[in-house]
Amino acid sequence: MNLALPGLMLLALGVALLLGLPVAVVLIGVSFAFAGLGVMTGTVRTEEIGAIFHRIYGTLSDRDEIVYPAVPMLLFMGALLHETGLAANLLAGFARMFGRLRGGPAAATIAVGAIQAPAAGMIGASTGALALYALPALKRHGYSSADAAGLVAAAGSLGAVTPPGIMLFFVADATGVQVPALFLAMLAPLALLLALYLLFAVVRGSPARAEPAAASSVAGALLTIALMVGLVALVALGLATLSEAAALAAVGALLAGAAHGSLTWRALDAAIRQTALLSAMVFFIFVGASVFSLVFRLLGGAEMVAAGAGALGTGAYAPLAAALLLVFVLGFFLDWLEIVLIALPVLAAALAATGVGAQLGSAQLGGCWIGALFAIVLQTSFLTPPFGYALFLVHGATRGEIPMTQVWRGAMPYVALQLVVLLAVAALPELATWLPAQVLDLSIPKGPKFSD
Amino acid sequence: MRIGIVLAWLGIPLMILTAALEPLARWIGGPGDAPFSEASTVAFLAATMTSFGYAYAAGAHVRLDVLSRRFPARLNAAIELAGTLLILLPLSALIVVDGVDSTWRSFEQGERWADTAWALQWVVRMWVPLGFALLMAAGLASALRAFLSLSRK
Repeated sequence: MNLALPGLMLLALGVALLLGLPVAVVLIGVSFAFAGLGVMTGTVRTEEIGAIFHRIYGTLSDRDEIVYPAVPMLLFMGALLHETGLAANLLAGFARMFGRLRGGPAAATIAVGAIQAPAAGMIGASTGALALYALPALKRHGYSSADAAGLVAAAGSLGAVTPPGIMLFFVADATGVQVPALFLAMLAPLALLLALYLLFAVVRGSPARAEPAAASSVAGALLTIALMVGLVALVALGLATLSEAAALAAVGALLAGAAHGSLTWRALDAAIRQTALLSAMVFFIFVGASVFSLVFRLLGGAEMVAAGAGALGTGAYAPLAAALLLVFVLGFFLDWLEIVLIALPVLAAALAATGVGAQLGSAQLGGCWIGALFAIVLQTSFLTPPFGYALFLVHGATRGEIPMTQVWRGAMPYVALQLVVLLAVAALPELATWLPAQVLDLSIPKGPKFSD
Repeated sequence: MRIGIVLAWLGIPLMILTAALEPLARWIGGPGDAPFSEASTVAFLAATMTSFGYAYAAGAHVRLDVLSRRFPARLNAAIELAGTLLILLPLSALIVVDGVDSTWRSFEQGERWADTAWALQWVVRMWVPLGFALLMAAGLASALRAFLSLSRK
């Protein structure tokens, strides 16, 4: 019956995206075209078109979703830490702390990846930056090109799974959990992942001795860590909302920059411009995707998804495995933005329809588990040869000096470690659900979303 | 583009400042955090909506260029021109018209903010039409550029 229209709509989106127009423009264009088709075929009432306008306004100004202002503020903090040189300082500081230990330089790179990537927000920006200042240092310490490149790609992609990463905001949105809950859910899997990465670094050993760094870089590094930990702690303890904590962290980054003596007008101007551009990138697609999902639902997309969910298989694992595999493959071709904002809501709805995660007792806990799995799969996808785009970023940052085949070889061990963590979280949902269940009251389902 | 940078310089610091004062106001007590929270919502909406056009002019919006990278330049220019004229401009115009209407109604009816009950909701609403008007300007500029590169032999 009407299942043809939503199916056609997805197909039209796929084809139109390939034209190379901005993704958000394509989303809005396809939405309006199919809203028109819907009116002509009588599936959509003319009055319902008015909801599209309301949606554009409501997506960003919805007072119940006050987490979104946190996104530009975190981007600003990340940009500022980068522009003032504090991020580079972080690496030097860690190198000083760990440099003498076995596997020290590798451990320093991993630690910096985990700490600065979430602030830099976009995996692309953080991997590129890390490649610029970590690769030369690693090679100076005698690491082979392949080892160094794989390490930098893996460390750079950690931003996808580390709170307060920007990607996690939108994964939480898609799987219907509060953002702080997903942040807490990521901590145990992240700890496991970091432990495995560090273990690997130690087993591999450091080829050469590290040279000591200046003492000031240790102070700078500690300051940056304090910002991140403080931010997550304020939210977890319920002292501040996410936006408030992000604002305080942004002010903290300003003060840190001033204390470090590198807060110039030029750095501030560059940080503000970057913030505006990056948040425009994110939110334009976000607005487009929410208009798209509205029209998709008006056309009966929910029924199509429910029908399609049956095709994913039955039971707790088959549909989940199918959805995760799909996201993994999409990660080769698309940015996380398109996957998380367009594909994930559809897949999460399909999983909910098949009852995946229901065994965990509450919708929020189920969402935490599924969201954590999605995030880990996406990160793995960025890292997996031959298409993972963290690999291309590292290759590009060296201007082709390290051949792609060497980058692939270097990344393989980390992909294996990722799979271990993924299987662990899939088999033991408590890894993701225990901490948020302890700290937050998740018995109450998240209020009906504005988009419902 | 200039306007975009100026507005980003106004909006982003204002957003951060007001949102940072919010918890401080609550911890100290006194007048409460409601005015700050509402001001930061406005600043966020203003900064974000007006950034769309700036990012468009700067060519920063995400595009899927797997295929189009291999298209001839003229084809890409034609796609850009058609996409801007057929999708971006008319739909933005619709959103601007509807947004102006909704802002005006909000102003006339004295629609109130949820927390402080100040009749200033129109200040929130006006950024949607304003943002899309700026986006139209950026779109027009890029359409013109595409047209010029097409008409050149």
